[in-house]
Amino acid sequence: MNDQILFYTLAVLVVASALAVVFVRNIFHAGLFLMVTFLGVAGIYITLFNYFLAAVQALVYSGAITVLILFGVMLTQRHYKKEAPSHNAFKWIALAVSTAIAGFLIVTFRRVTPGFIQPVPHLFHQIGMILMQTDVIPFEIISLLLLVALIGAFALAREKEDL
Amino acid sequence: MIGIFHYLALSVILFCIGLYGVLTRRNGIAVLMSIELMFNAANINFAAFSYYFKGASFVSGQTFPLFVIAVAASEAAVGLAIVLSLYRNRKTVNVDEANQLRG
Repeated sequence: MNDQILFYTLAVLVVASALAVVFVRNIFHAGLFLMVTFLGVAGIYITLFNYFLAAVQALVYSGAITVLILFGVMLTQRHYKKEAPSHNAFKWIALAVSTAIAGFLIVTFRRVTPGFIQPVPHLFHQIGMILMQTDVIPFEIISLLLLVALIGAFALAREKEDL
Repeated sequence: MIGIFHYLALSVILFCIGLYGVLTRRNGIAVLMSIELMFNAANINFAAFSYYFKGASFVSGQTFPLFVIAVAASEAAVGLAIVLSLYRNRKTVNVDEANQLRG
C-alpha cells in the first residue's frame, strides 16, 4: 500500500512538472521545473530500489545538467521578447501525434505485460564489477567522449576573433 | 501492486511530453530540455526492466543508464554551445529562425 502511494505521488509530480517544462512560457521557469522532474525521476529509481542510479541522477542530472542549462538560458535571454510566441504553428498536429503514440503504446503494453512479476533484488557490488570487467571498453570510451564533447563545446562557444 | 506496466506507462507519458516539446518549442534551449525528458523516459525503462526481469545480464540494466546519463551530459554541453554560437551570430535562439543552410 505504501509503495503505491509513493509511486503515484512521484508519478504525478514527474508528469506535472514535465508538462510545465513543455508548456510554460518563461524559459528560466521551465529549467527550474526540469530540475523538479529530474528529482522526481530519482525518486522513481528509489521505488525500484536502484539507489545508485538515483544518486547519480540527483548529482549529474539535477545537479550538473540543469545548472548548465540555466547558465545557457541566462547567457542568451538578453533580448527576450515577452509577446513572441513560445511554440510554433504545429501545436495541434504535434499534440495529436504525441497523444496517439502514447495511447497506442500504453494499450499495447497493457496487453503484453504480465500482471505481476516477483521483483528481483539488486546486487550493488556487481555494478562496479561489471563496469570494470565486461563493460570496461564502453566505460573508457565514455570518458573519452566526455573529454571530446567538452573540448568541442569550448571550441564552438568561444569568441572567434582571436583565431 | 505496482507492476512493470506502471513504470512503462509513466515512461511512455514522459517520452511523449518530451516529443511534444521537441516538435513545438521555438526556443533551442527548450528543445534541449525536452530531449532530456526523453532520455529520462528511456532510463526509467532500463531501471524497471532490470528490476522486474532477471535475465543473463540483468545488471546491464543498472549500468546502461549510467552511460546514457554520460552521453546526455555531453549532448547538453555541445547543444548549449551550438545555441550560444547561434545567439552570438544571429541574435536569436529560436530554431525556426536558424535557416542559413536552407537552399
